[in-house]
Amino acid sequence: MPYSLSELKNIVEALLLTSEIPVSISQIRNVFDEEDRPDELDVERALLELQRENDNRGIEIRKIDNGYRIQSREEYAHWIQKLSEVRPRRYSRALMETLAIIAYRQPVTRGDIENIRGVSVSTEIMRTLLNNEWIRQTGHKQVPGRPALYGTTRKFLEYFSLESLDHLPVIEDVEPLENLDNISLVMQGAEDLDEGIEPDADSDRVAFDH
Amino acid sequence: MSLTKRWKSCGVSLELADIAEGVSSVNGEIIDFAEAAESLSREIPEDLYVPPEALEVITTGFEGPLDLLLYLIRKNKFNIVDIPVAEIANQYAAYIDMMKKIRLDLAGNYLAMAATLAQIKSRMLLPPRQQDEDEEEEIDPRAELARRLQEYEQFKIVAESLNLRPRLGREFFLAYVETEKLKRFETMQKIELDDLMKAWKNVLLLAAEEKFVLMEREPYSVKDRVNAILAKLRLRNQIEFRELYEPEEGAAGVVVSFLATLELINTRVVTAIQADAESPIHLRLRD
Repeated sequence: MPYSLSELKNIVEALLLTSEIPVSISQIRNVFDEEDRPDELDVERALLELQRENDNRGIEIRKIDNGYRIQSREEYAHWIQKLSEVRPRRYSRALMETLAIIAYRQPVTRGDIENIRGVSVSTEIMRTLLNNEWIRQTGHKQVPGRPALYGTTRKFLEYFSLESLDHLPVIEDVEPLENLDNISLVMQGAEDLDEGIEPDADSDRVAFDH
Repeated sequence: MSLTKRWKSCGVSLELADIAEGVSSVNGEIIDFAEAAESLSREIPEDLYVPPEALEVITTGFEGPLDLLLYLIRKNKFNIVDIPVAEIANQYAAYIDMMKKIRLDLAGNYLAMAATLAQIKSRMLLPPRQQDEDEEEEIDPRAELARRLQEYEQFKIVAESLNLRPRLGREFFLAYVETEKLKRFETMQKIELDDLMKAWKNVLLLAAEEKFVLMEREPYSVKDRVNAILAKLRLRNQIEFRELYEPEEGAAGVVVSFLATLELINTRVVTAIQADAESPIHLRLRD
């Protein structure tokens, strides 16, 4: 190849350092003239080498979507926050739940979100998510009323430092609801059912498994 | 019996302060729900009732009826089989009354849940239809609710882990050179010494061409000129308009003389006479 690995590495480093948004491998390759354009593998090797060299530094090279960017290491957040006068914005649980549903179930309608959360979707929350460009309208569901469908954006990945949607936290199985597994059994037998709903004084109280 | 009385009759007191402590804000924006729930669970009696005053703090910490129901089930090992619908309905009615005062929009959601619970209970009171044994098993009316509760719980957990993820501007910051500065730098690089010389020459030329206009107080006044004209007219019978100003006075002298003449004519002190269109104008004092 026309450029040595160390030269290429320096060029890549300079490109990443001067870009506000993640730079993709194809973007890096495109800055070279055709005759001495490095192939994908070389750029990747240069990036890996850069990542390795930054192992013991306060900054690191992270992959976001198909691009690479330089960012400060999470463990130094405390000190950076002290220097910066801007407090990071806090978001409500309702907003994070809404965002999580959109991220995992996309594309979704407002109705889908309402079904899962059991409360109506706050217009305020949707506006915040749209203004932050974490979500966008991806189309309309082909059902009566043609409700808007929402999905997450690349900005969402950038903001939460996610390489892709596959890197979202894994949805884990929750502990089964107490006694609910038995419900179906109870329902199968009439005697059991009677027991379960006997309209005596006790059945009108909540049962505790103490 | 009112709910509060009933609550008191249980001989349990729920410390409002305990709950309030865990809830840093009641507007639903920032709420440490876990702490609120924890303090509630320590005191929860063997009864679902919570005094309405306490509820006012708690409900703002819940994200809706699913959240509240899930909480009750998880914390109290509440058995959905034994849902005391009558009591829950009462309790929900109390919640709804209270929420009408706080958040009317939320009341509807809780009302819908109360209706769902009542429907489940009523369906369970009906004996299973024996003749349908060969057909599909009757769907447990609670199964759908249980599914929804579990689905909601999953998202509740996942939203929390998403919230804990490193975030731009919170856990990490971008490290980059501002491109605006870069652009300006690029433009400057294209400038060569020759360009700089030319630019300097232009500046010098402009400086040389620059004409300064000195603004001075007007040396002639109409009032002074009126007096001068009158003085001249007192010495001579009539004077030609051209004699009223000196050539070195320039345009300003002509204008001031003209204005003074107009003033004198207007006040009927002098008259202007002219033999014909080509001849000079003469001024004469009026009699």
